[in-house]
Amino acid sequence: MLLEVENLSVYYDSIQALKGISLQVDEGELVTIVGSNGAGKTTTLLTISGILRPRRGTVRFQGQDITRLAPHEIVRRGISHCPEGRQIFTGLTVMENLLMGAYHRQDRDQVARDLAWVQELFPILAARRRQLAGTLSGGEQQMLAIARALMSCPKVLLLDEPSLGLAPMLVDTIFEVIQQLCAQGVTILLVEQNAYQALRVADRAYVLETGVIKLSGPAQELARNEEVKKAYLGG
Amino acid sequence: MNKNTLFYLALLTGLLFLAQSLLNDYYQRVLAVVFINIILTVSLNLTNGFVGDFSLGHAAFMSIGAYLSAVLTLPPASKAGLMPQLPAWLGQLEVPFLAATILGGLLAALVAAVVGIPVLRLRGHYLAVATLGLMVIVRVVAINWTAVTRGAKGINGLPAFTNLWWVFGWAVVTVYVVWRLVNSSYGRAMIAIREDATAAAARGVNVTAHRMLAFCVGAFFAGIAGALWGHLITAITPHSFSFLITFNVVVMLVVGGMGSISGSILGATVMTLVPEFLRRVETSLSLGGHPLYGLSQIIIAVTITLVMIFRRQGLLGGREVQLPRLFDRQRALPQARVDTTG
Amino acid sequence: MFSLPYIAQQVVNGLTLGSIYALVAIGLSIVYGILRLINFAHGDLLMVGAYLALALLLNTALPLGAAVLLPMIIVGGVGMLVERLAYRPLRGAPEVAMLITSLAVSSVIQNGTIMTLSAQPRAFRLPQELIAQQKVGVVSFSTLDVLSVAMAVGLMALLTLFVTRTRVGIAMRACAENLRAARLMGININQVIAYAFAIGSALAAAAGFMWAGRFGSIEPFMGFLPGLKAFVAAVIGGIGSIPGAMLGGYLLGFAEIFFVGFLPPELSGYRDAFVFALLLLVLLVRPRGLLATVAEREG
Ligand SMILES: Nc1ncnc2c1ncn2[C@@H]1O[C@H](COP(=O)(O)OP(=O)(O)OP(=O)(O)O)[C@@H](O)[C@H]1O
Ligand SMILES: [Mg+2]
Repeated sequence: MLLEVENLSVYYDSIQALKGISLQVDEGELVTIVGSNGAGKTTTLLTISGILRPRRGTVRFQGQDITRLAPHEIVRRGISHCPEGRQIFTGLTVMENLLMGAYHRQDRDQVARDLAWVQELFPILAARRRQLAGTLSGGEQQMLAIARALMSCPKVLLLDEPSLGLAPMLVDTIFEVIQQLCAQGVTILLVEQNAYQALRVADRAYVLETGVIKLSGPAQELARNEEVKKAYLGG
Repeated sequence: MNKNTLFYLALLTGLLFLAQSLLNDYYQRVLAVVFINIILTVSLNLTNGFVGDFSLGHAAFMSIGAYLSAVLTLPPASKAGLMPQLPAWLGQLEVPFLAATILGGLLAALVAAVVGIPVLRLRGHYLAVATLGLMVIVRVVAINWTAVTRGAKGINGLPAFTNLWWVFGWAVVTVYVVWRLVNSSYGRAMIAIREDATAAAARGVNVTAHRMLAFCVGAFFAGIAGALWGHLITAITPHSFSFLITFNVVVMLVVGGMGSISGSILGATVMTLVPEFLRRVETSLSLGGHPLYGLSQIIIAVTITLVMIFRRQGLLGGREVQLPRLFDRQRALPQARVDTTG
Repeated sequence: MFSLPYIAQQVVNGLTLGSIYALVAIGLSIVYGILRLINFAHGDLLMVGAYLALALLLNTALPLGAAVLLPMIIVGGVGMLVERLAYRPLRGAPEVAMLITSLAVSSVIQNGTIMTLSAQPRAFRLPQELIAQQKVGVVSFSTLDVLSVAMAVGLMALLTLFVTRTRVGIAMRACAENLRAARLMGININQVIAYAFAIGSALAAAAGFMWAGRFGSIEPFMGFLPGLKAFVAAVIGGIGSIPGAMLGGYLLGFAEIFFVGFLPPELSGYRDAFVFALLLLVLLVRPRGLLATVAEREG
């Protein structure tokens, strides 16, 4: 297993947001977590990346326990997190944002190649290279956020609601990119409220409800599950 | 007031009588300073502990209260000598101590309101800088407005009205008012603001008004404390109320635990007595014939840093201690639990 | 009413004072930008810088440049040390805790100076050729003034290069804007914060030299007022923004000099009061300052 989360419990002060969840992501997989608002999806990702500290449970990456590592150590090991709500640096140029994604990397040549690669993936970013990121449109900002996360050359990419607040056309584009990345061998853990799309592209899926994993299995199977249909796919 | 409160008040009054007859002048004065510091700390707690704004304005408000009350209580004869340029009506005026003290507090509260209008629309921490700025403004005015303040020379020969009974009385009033306020709907709104101002506003709490209320009430009692202090020391200068005073009150507040009235009382008491003791040690210490002035302040500052790192909630952790109830026939009133640990 | 040379002279004075405020404001602003900490100990580092410079001038035969540079390096280190010892253990703590700690740090530095060197003011004499007033055209100024302004501008240019051209510098801006996102990008924020303290403190030390040279004497509490005023400058410019701090510093310098220079002399005693009245005014009409980057939460 590339990434293993075991029995994770996370609290905000006295409120328990995760109640002992476990999940796995294997090399090359596209795994999705679906769940409604407040289910604990973002909390899960933030705990994996070391921003939040779990009260119980472990996160293992490539067999090693990374539960207590600082976020920058975790990025260095190969987990990249594209946060909810984009969170790009609006006062930095597009290029500077991308460079920040590659902050820990020393291999200049490879960084240059990756820069070229993400700009190929999102041609619009190449055109806007020198522009302040805050002046990009919402969709462009989301692309920048994904591109920035890719710049760390991740072994696993954590994507938190990449389609949030985007027009349907752009949602399709984003999901195309996700599939494309997957085809190129990037392992992805995708959090989505757009369960329909997420289940369509994913290999496996987990359904998270109020801090508990309710269901898990191959994405196609879950997409046919009556409960899932009722709760997340609009009947 | 219930029986318990009355009993403890009576007990304290008795102890005070004892203190007055047994303690020498020095200790009586230290005791008076303890009470003044209780007034300062409990009132600062309102903004800094309950609302979560961070005011550093207590020295400024004390200064205002002290100067105004001094000008009001000085007998016309001495005013004619000290401040000949005083407007005639003010020169003739001689106000009783109590009224002068209250007026000093009111002026401080008024100034707080004026400063609060721009500052309290922002995050709580702008208040820290703005109130320090206010301290500078007040000092500059005190230095330059020589007709009333006598400039850098300051005013001396204030009537020594302040005694243990005045400071004790005002401390009781301060504690009572702050306690009532905090346990009212106003207080609940203040705590809601501290926990999450946006959420409080969303629930219909008038955030600015409550912050303003706390700030002005705090300033009022700081003004009172300044008046009491002036009439205890009997001399004031523009530099009497410096940053050091503000800092030390913050220390008392933090040691006791922000958001707890009993904590403030405890903090003020401990952090008045300990440094007083340290200062006496300090003057007798020396290193190679070189006195170690400043050592006590360093110890205090390091202590407070350690408190911030290891026991941020202070001695009482934002809770109230209750004295044992001796007359508990009635239902015990549910005590407001104020939790600042979050 | 005022002659042209007089006005030119005031502009020169505003420029020198503004340079000092700008240098101090930068340090306050970067630290506030990242940590939301109003570092009340910042002005005291200015004081430490001045004392170190005096010690070097009196006890060594080092060239003047060294008396400026060495204190900058040492104070930069002191700033990092303070951050490591006092502020880093409070990472993630409420802002109030850091604020209180910075008050305590300020007290430690001031009283430490009193304890070791006494509270007595000391003369800070620079060589005569530095402080002698020279008349060029219609305005007069000292070599120190010229050096101060040149040095301030040079340092600010270097800083601008640093935050736009280097990896750590860009990361510093990223951290100021969104600390969590910066951490998610793999930026070691402790390292960036240490840099911020080192740079800010070094700039404060440089300002300390200029301040001391300008007023000719130093004492343990000398940092309080410039520190506080620099905060006003940072707020005017828009706290968190480096160009804002520079702009605010110069604006405040000019405002203060003009207040004294162009208003009736009876008012000049009120100059410090004017500075803080200005703060209140700015907060009233433009609470985020002129070049704000930091979004301030209302209420
Ligand atoms: N900073 C916080 N402080 C307190 N509670 C929080 C905090 N962040 C999240 N929570 C709570 O934890 C629970 C899980 O939140 P989380 O953000 O992980 O949900 P989510 O599944 O990502 O929801 P969404 O789809 O709306 O993004 C929610 O009940 C939320 O209210
Ligand atoms: Mg979420």
